[in-house]
Amino acid sequence: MTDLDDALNTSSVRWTPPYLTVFWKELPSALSSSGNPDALVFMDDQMTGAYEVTHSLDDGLPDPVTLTTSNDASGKAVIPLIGRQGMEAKEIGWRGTRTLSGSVAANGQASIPFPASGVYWGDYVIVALTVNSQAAAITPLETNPDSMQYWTPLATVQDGSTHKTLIYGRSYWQGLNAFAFGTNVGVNVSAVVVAAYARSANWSSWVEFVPQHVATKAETVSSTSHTSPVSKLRRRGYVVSVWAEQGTTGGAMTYTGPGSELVEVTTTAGIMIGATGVIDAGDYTVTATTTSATDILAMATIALEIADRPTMDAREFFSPFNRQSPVVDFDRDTAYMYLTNNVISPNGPVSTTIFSGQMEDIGIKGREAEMKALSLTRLDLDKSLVLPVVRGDRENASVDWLVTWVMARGGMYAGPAPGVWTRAWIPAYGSVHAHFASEYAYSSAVFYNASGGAFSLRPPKVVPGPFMTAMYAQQTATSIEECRINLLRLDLATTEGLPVPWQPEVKWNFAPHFVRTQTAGRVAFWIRGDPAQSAPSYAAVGDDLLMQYNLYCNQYSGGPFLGYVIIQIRSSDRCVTVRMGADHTGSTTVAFTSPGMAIPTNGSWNFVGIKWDYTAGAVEVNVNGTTATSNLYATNGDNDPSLLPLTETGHYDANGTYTNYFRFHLPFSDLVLEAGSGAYSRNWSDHYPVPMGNNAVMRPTYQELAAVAEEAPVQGWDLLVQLAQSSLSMYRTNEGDTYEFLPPSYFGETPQLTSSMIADTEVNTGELDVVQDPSKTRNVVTVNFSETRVASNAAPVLDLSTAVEIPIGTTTLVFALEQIAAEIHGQSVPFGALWQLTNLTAAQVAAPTTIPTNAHYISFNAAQDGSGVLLTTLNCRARIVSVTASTVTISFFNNTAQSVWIANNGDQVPFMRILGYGVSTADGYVTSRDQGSITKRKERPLDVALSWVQTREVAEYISQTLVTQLARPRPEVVVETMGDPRRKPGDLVTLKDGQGTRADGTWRVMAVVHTSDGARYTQKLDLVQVPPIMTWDNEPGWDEAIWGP
Amino acid sequence: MPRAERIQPDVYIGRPGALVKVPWPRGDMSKPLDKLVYEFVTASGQRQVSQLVGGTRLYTVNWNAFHTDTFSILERFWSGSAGAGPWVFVDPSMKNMLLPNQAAATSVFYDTRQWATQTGAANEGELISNAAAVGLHTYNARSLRWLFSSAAATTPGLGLTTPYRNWYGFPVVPGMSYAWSAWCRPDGTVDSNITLRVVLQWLNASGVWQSEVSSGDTALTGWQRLSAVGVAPVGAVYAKPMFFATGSTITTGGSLYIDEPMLEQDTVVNDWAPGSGLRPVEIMSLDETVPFDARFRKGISMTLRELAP
Repeated sequence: MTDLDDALNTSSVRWTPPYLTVFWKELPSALSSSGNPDALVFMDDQMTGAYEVTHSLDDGLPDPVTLTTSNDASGKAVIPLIGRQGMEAKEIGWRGTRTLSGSVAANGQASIPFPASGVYWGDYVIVALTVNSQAAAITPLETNPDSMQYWTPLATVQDGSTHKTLIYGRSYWQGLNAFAFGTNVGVNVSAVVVAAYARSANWSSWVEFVPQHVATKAETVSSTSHTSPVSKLRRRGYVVSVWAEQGTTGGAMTYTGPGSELVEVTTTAGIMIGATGVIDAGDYTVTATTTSATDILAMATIALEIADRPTMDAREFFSPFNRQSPVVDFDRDTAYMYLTNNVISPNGPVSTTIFSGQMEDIGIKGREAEMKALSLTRLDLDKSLVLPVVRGDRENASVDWLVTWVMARGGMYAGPAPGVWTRAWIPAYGSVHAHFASEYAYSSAVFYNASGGAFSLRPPKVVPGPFMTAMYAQQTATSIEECRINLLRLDLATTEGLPVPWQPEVKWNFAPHFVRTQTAGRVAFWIRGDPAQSAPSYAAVGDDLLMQYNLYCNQYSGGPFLGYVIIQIRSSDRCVTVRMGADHTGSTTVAFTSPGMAIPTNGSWNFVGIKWDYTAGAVEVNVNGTTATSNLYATNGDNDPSLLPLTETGHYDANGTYTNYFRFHLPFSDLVLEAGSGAYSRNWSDHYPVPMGNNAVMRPTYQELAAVAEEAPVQGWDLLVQLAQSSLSMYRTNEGDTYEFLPPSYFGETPQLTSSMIADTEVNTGELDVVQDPSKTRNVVTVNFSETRVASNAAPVLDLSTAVEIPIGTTTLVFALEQIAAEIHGQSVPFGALWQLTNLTAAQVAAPTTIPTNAHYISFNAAQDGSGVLLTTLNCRARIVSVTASTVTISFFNNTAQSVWIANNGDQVPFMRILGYGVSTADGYVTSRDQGSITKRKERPLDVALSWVQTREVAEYISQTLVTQLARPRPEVVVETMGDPRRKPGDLVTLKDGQGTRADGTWRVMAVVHTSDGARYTQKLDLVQVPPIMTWDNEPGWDEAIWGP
Repeated sequence: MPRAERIQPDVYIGRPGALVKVPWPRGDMSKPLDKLVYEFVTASGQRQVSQLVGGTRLYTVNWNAFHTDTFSILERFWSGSAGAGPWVFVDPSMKNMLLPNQAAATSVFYDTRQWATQTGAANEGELISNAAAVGLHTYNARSLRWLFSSAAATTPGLGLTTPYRNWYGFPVVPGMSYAWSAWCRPDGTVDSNITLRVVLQWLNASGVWQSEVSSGDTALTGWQRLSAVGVAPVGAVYAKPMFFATGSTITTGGSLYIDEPMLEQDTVVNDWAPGSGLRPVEIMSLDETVPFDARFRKGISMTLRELAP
């Protein structure tokens, strides 16, 4: 029993007012946490106590038959607001002061610290400095007005001959450093700092100061008596005056009022600040004297007004036109907010967040305002996305892979999330294809067996993983099934990171992998401890391994190794080894064999992490939390980075090569490769024992796809909806504003089969509204789908027969493919020979049967009609530079002195041919019927097009499941109950009704509407009936379920 | 314990430091503590009741008749002639002037809101809402536990949040007597003898200390009621109730339990009573009827609503 159980399992509940917390983007983050009422972070006082929050689960069914028609998978909140309470400053005064005098060299910098006695949130700090050069350009180091280190220039005044006086001010916050400035010429500086405070009587809140009218005056006549310019105070506050001498000839200055002197510097150059007491609005002058001699002063007055806050009702406070409101310029559709319900339990107040999301608007209706908010996750997921191309028969492809790929674009992760140091992330959720890596990364499964190392591609299997799923691999006495991820050109990886929920304020670090100035990296993954054959007889030495990561830098292809890091898990002792070195230094292999470091053979999932700093010669290995380190390389000198290139791209351009790939012979998942100093310096808590960023709720569908190969960008949210419908999954954004993707198996798990509450019309539930909508009954279901196949052999995907002019020099053109392709021939070695187009010769054009069928080709011709000379690669050549599912980008290099043409005069010989593994689709349909229902009701058809069903088997399964579900009316119940803030869509509810409906039984919550108004906190539940469920296990970890009729 | 006879059976209205005496409402005064309560009706007609903790009073003050000059005292506040509120309404029938969670020693919210140590520093101790029976004086659900997990300051102080953010304490009427009291005891396990005093400080309109009355330092070995009783001096605008312990008598890890605190306007200390707070008010209405003689008003009724702190 929890405190909440104790509090809510009673017929007498005591609530405290809800909390509404809002993070306005216009407020600097530091101010947001200050507690000042005008920071508007804690808007509890703005609430009437009323709100309505809706959370619902989309059942993934087509719209005509969805179980609860009002459902929307996004959480929504509507919160009435009342405006702002007034605040009058009662405690007003000055903090301590600070002085500074000295010199600053030309082009030097200096900073002026704050008053020694302490400055606090909301104090207004004034810095005044005078320098002995009017030519000096005194420049604050922070010039961005949006920065919290920025100081507002209040006044600059020159006394007519030698000195310049500058005054700056700003409200203090805890992260504010001293006032820092630079000068272009050497100067002597005298400076003073003061800080004013204004607080409510009980010191709980601060009131701002606003510097308004600023007046300056430079005296022209030397005198001992000095009068300030007129200061125009328009509401109560201080008149602050700054007085500066040309040097010290005038001696000490004396502020003669009204008010008192706050601080003065009498060395180098005299500068003094005085202030009146708190006085009412009016025009004021203040005076001072120089005591030793007459002098010319520069002076300024600042009307420092106290911004007492008048009470504003909702329309005044939230009107976008009221310039008196502190939120007038705040966007009302960008702030993140959350709402908390509070109940008093026997052990004290308990808060439960019932909504998190982004503000949509604050509308004004009469005297009232109303905040509307929507799940931010939905907005984040609703992106325009260009999907990668995934080839199912090579690397596997699945609904799970695609769902998690899209989710990651919105910052939602079904397992460990990448961090800002990540350069490659391969979670292995239904494919070996990377979720984040270079667009050229190439993943595959490789098969060896005992008959002489036969080599073939076959898609790896998907198995349950430690978080979601994993990709299967094995090493047995007869065969090896290897998962291989070749990262290839990491230097050309995307420069756009993914949202990282656990490092939201940190920018992505796209550190190079292995260059002279950056050699640190980290690899982390989970590997299943399956038994494996040690040193199988048919495997070459280099192929006997459980896992391997190779990072080489070669001077040229096949040339000297300038440096390398090789990580392996040996099959013999199942321990990690690391080898680092280079050809010019030699290398050393370190084995980490201490107790606890061997991968067990019990089938368990094991975390393995390896991080290295080549330059420092240090390595650390972590296996299930047991760590071991070595700095051997630092002492034996194998870690010389001096021959490594300065940049990766420069190395490639100079014909250098990098090798960067992983191989697994045991099932693996959640592979992360990181680079940069942070990759080595950060501790393992990013990954183990609880990995960071796992914020979404998802279960695998295990539903395979032939390919992911889209012609055009897609909308992320819409794609997730289509994927849910194509896998009979439910989905929503939840109370914590994270995403849930729930296939049927989720509801077969024990927690989902356990009733979380009893809705009893005797105890806590109102009247039942029973709905049984016959219009949603369907007994003939036709699933339309695209039967999809990927060609196993390379075939033409583009035959260009239109002449194209290629001008002198380099030209890059994008060509649309004639057939969607899951892979372009040669993609496993991009930039290699296979991506070079073969130039056709005249003989080949004349005899097309002689044209090679396993290479891309092109014919460069001097004449547009193809009648000219065919050019060789010495004159013209072409190379593929990138591909998508529907396009190929080719660079042409014309070394001749004139334009040439892609053309020839052969007999139906294409001018250019690109080979690929085409994706062919055929419209298919499957129809399922429920004859019993048809006999009673006649045919009630449903046609549904499921765009992510690619095989007939899946289409049949879905149509049969749908017709079983839809063939008879499905009852729904709507009830109002006393509120429990923990209640959420997806919960199982035991319904008890003694009032005649006989609707007793277990029901699933599809939607919850939280309604609060004063002491009322109730919930409206949309429920659907859950028939008896039978479950069984087919894999460890996940439960499958079937609903009875 | 019999209550002392009230010396000043009148009411006062105005701002702190500028209170005006108005005759006792002989037409009676209604002052319910309004709480938001919701009644949920189940399908079978059963009830669940939920409520928001806390509430505000609505005063309906009725006078049978006033001379028009006396009525003008009220009218100046209602008409706006006295400026903007909020106002203080001193009701001598108020038995405990402390805010609800103060008077109940945390039993209302089950947390320590409305309480604070003097500086918030660790050596001033930490505050806990206590449910253990050892710390309960009678039958309230909770008491306040003042725990010293680290070495105590020389004179750790404990105070109460003011009823309104722009007040320095609880408004008082100079010349009237006030009594500040609380039941206190050491935890008896870690520390069985702690010296404590309760102090009622008198503050001027700017919140500056003027003088104080004290219970005197008292060595506590079990439950004991400490009290400080005194007349608000001329110039006193607010009363600020405080606890001050003698740090040298506190063993690290030791606690003080405080229960049933009470601030009342009286010359003696009375039996403890719950408090809803002497809070700022705003006038909601002022009714008047002019009888046959225009120099008088009759049927006078003023409603006041307590405001947010």
